[in-house]
Amino acid sequence: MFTWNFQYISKARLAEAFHQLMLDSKKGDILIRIHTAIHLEDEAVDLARFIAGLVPGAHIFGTSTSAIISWGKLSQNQCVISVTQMTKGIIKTALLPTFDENNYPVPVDTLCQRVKSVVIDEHTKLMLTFLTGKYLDVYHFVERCNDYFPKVQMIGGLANTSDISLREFLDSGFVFNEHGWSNKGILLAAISGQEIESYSSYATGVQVIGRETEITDTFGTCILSIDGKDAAKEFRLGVGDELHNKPELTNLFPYVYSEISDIPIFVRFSDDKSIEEMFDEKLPSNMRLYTAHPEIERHHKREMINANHNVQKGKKLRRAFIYDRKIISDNRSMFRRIENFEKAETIFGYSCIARSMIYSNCVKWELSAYENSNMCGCITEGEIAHVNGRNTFANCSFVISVIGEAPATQEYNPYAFSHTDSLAADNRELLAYLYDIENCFAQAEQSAAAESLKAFVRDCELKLLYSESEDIPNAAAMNLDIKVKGYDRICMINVFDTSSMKTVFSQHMINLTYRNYLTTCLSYARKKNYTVYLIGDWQVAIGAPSYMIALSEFVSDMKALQRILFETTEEYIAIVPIFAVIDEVTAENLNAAYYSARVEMTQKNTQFLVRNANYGKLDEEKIKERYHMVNVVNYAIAHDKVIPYFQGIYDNHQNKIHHYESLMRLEDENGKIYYPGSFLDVARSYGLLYDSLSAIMIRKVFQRFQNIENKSVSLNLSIRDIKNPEIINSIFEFLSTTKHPENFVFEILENEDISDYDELIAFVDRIHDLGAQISIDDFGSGFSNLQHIANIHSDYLKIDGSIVRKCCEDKEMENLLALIAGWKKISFRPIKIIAEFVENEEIQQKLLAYGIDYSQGYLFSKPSPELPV
Amino acid sequence: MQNEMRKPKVIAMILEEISSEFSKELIQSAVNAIPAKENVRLVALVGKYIDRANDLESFQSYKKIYNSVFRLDELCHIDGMIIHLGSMSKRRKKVIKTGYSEQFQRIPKVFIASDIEGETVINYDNESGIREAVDCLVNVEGLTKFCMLGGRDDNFDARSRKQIFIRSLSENNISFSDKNYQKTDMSDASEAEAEKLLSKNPDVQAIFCVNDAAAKGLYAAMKKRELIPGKDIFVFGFDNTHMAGEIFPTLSSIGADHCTLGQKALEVLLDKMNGKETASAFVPTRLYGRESFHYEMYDYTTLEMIQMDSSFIYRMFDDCLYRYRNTYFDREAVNLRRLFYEYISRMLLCMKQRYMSAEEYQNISRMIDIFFEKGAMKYTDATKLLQSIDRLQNSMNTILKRSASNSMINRLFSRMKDKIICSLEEQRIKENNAMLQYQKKLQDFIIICSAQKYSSAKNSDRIFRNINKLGVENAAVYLFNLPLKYDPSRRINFPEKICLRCVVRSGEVYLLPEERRQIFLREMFTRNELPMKCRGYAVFPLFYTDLIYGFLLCELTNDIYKRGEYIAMELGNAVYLEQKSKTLPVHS
Repeated sequence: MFTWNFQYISKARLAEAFHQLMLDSKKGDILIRIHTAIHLEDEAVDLARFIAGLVPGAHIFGTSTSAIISWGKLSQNQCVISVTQMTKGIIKTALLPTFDENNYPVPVDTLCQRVKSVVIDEHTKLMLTFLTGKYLDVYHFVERCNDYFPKVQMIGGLANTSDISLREFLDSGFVFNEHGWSNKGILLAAISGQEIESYSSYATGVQVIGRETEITDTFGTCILSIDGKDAAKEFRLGVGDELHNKPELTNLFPYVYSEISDIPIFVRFSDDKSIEEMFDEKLPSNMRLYTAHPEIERHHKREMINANHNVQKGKKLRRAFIYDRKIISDNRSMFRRIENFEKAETIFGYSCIARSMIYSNCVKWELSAYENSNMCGCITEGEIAHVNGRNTFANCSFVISVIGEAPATQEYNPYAFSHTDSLAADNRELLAYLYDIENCFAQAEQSAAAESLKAFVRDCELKLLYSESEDIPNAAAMNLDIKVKGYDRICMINVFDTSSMKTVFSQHMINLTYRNYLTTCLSYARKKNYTVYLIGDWQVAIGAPSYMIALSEFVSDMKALQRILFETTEEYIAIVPIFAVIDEVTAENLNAAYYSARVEMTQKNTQFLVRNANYGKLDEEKIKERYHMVNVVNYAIAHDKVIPYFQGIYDNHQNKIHHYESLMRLEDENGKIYYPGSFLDVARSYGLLYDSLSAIMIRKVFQRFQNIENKSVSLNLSIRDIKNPEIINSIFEFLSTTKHPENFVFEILENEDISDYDELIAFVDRIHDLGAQISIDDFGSGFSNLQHIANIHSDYLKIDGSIVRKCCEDKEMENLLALIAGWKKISFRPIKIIAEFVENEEIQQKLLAYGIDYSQGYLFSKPSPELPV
Repeated sequence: MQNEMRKPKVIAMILEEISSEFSKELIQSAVNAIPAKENVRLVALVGKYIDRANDLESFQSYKKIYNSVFRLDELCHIDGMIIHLGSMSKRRKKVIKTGYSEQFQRIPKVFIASDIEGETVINYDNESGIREAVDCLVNVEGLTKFCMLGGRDDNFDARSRKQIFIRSLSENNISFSDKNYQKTDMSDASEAEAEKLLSKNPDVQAIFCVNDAAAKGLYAAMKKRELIPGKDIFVFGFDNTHMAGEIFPTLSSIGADHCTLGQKALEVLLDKMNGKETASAFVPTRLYGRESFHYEMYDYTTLEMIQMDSSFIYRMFDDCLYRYRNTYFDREAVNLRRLFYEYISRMLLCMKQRYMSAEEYQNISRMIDIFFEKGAMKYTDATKLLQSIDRLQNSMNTILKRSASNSMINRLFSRMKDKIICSLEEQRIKENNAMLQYQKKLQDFIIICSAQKYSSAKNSDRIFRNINKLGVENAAVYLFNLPLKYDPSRRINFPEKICLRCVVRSGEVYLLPEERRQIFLREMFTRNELPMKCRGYAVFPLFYTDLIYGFLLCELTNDIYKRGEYIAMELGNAVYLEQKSKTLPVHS
């Protein structure tokens, strides 16, 4: 015996393949199996015919499927062709109808007799059997086969197609050969021969839990009641209400027939159909059901559980459940038996569509031991298994038959089952738990049992949906963790210059670096028990809850990670990951905090920052205050409440007020007076507000002083004002028309950034040209640029109040005073020094000692809207 | 507009006997209550109680000189004061009230355990706790013979506790006579008095001790008579100090309920300093049951457990780790309360669902490990926690009956119990190691100080260069330019200037250059040289016989409460010897 599998690619390739195989039906019977997930019915027949033409005399056996197994591997969207050339053995195939011409299902006994007479002989060892989902007596049929031809092992199942949806009942599968196709038929291939030996086995992973119950009422495939109770309701209570949304969970909790206790009977749960919708009255096969149940309520939607075959009243059921550890042990023992079978020339393997739904990758994993063998088969929708010497119709099972005429071995992979740690944790307690649940059921404490099953199901569901996947949780998962698990410490990691990488490095290199970056983050986080989230390309977040990790630990761990990432070897591109650790995170404030952290980091040019999500937040009080000030400024502008105050500047040589500094004040509706400190910043940030204030102030001071001869006044100007042509022009215009331009001094605040020196110099020269004077304000505040005094030809220099105020207590401040006074002495420019914030006599004495020319402060004059006399 | 460095506000705490559990916990709870955002420095000026009748003369004179530390409260810049007059001499009470300068009078003050009229006073609500205990003993245990180990008559709390105790008894129709009462000095040296009380009342069933320290004396007396607290005689103390959970059998004690004296005093004082209206307040008390008198503080009702009520879990936490909520919580540290909530709620959920996955088991185990790693045991005593956990376990087992998750939940409980024992052991080992290390360092210090002079110029620095060997992490030493001679007949007055000799920051010693050492005495507590991160300091006088050299300002750590005075003594001696050695005549 010899078996070869290949994928169908094109008819030409097919011809070539057959040619190379040098098949000859004269040397022995040939079985050609076709399992296709890509052909429609007629195409499949066409293919079969084509093959029949290529290999005359071959027995063609074709089924549709959702996925194929070839060389022990599972593939979707393919068609596999498996050729078995017998040495002595005989193959008989047949495609028989399962419904008669009136569309009544063929009675089970009739079908058995026909099968026996067509394909079975005394040396038949194995019969491949495929049916379609429409023949609902399939369970009964397989059972009866044991009576008609007891020594024949059977393997096969119900054909399905790839366009499946488990929520609906399927009957879309078909079987075919070169003569045609049928979705109401049975396809057989019996292998007989004296030398032929065959071994068939199965693995399910089913664990029975609980006591025996009896089906007390049925309606076709529907189990109406168990032990007299509503069957669907009982089932739902057991699995939990989650079942409504996830009917596929029923895969995990099948019923089994008591007599063959590890073969699940697939039960589907539905709650959106009525009996009428489920069982079409017009179908002849269903008519009998309605006749048998004349009283049944047909129209209302109801909860139902259905098997995929007709169920019979009186059958004993037990509840069961499929779990990972049992899947492993079942597969191990099956493998051991298969491995020890001597004549392993050909392997047939069929697995169930439902198995892939139970645990992800379950089918692939189960197949892994047979990856180098010639196993061919497909995914079916219900299997025929050989259990303890009897054939039975099964569900959610993995069935294998090994057959051979002469001793042979396959290349198995015995290590496939050894790496199962990741697949499942120890589940002994899980079983204990399930027994426990069963007890609850026994005591009819159903709500408690339902509650606990729910938790278990959720747990399984997680495995079902997320396990085995290497994917890193995403931003949504992070938000969920922040909300539900209280992860309030998040470290955002990002690499920015990635687009520039492309100009220098190959994509391959970038990918390599990226992968290394991610795995480094992942493995480090795993070691430290943090969770990693992939937020975007190159952007990763690491989360931890504050109730587990102290901030200092988290920060030092993140710093360590940053070092690791940075220190990667020359094999990768050097990257600079930016780390922002944010504490007290909520789902709402995270983004804002992250962006403001980013801004801060850019400004400070740092790559690591720790911040509290709440600190960066705008202070509500401050915002209110800000808007209040905007209102005040607007009100003052609109209602002429910008009021110039005047403070006298005392001439220390002449002992009298020399001139006045004009100071801006605003008044609000209630008559409250505001100082520049409270509104100037706000006004400046609005730009235009500030310009208006300045313009008004200047206009008012000019008006006040234009006709006064013997009093001079100083006005504050900022660099912004000097850059404002309107203001500048109004100043120039006024000075060129007024009688006493020398009475006006312009105080320039030099702590603002002066970017355009020429503009400033030009302004100063022009002022001098027009006969007015210039003063440098707040000298000594901030970090004054000494160049300014050299470059700007000012007439006055005003020492900042912070120096003056402390000149008596602090020697250093006094030294600064001395410095400025000394500079004045050696300077060849006639410059006058003004000291502001002169608050007491002590300070004044000190100023006099250093020969400061003018003093301004409360000691001499308080600011007032009236000119002091 | 100006970037002047903000000086910390200084709060001085005036009390006595820093090494007593009561003082320690009072100071610590006040330090812990300082809000994170406030730039407040708390300085404990702790003196000595002088018992003129019983103290030896040498002790009396030592204590008098020691108490010169109290003078700093007027001479230094202080923004607010918490004063526990307790049993301070009447003279001083009067002085504080009237004798000091006008400026001193204006400093906001809060008094603890006092009956001064017209002042803001924070007192224990002695009534609620004592009544709780008496009612329980009478009604539940059916006892009739009560005694009290009382305190000094000059102590306000001692007086009021006695009155309330007697009143509670009489309301329960239980007689109480002088025979049933014995006063003590409220320290743990009260064994003799306890002995007397037991002799007078051989049939006593329950004894109330005016504070935990007195109960310690009673324990010793009972041990001699082979009487077991809690079995032969019910004993309960007051203050709920850490000691109560550490002695054997553990002592039931009445203590602050959800807010401690120090905490409340500090809160009120801060309000007062910020110009808010404040009023005197009572700190509610309750009985913390332990082995010497079984009493459950909280019910663990099964219904709440099944409903997994979050307030129930938090209440359990407050019961199990009863000191936690009165402790300053650092936002950056691990929040044990939340952690406890997380793992207990998960265990309850598994109990309810009768199912626990292996992963969940792992997760919860990890949480439990972290819980204890992060110092849960600091906030409770072992027996109490063991008991509470046992109760929880039992009630969960009742619900679980024989479900499968049962074994896992019980494994988690035994893990917790293991952890409790382990952390106790670790703590003990750690303490022991620290002690050994400290002894070694001290020896080094003495050797260095007494070693042969090697260089005459730097010689005077070597004491201070090695000051960290005394076991101070953060500290400052202030010395007068010349030592002051104590004159018992006059009120001591310190010079205006003092010399900041050295500063210790995180164990590193910094000697200040000569020219920067001179500072004003009034700035002693506000200097920027002191480590900013330390919120609490204690001041110890440095003196030898009647010569006062200066002060040691130490960060308040567990060690300092216990050994601060001793360290200061060592330092005083060292300075004395240093100076003495210069003048001693030597045979050539």
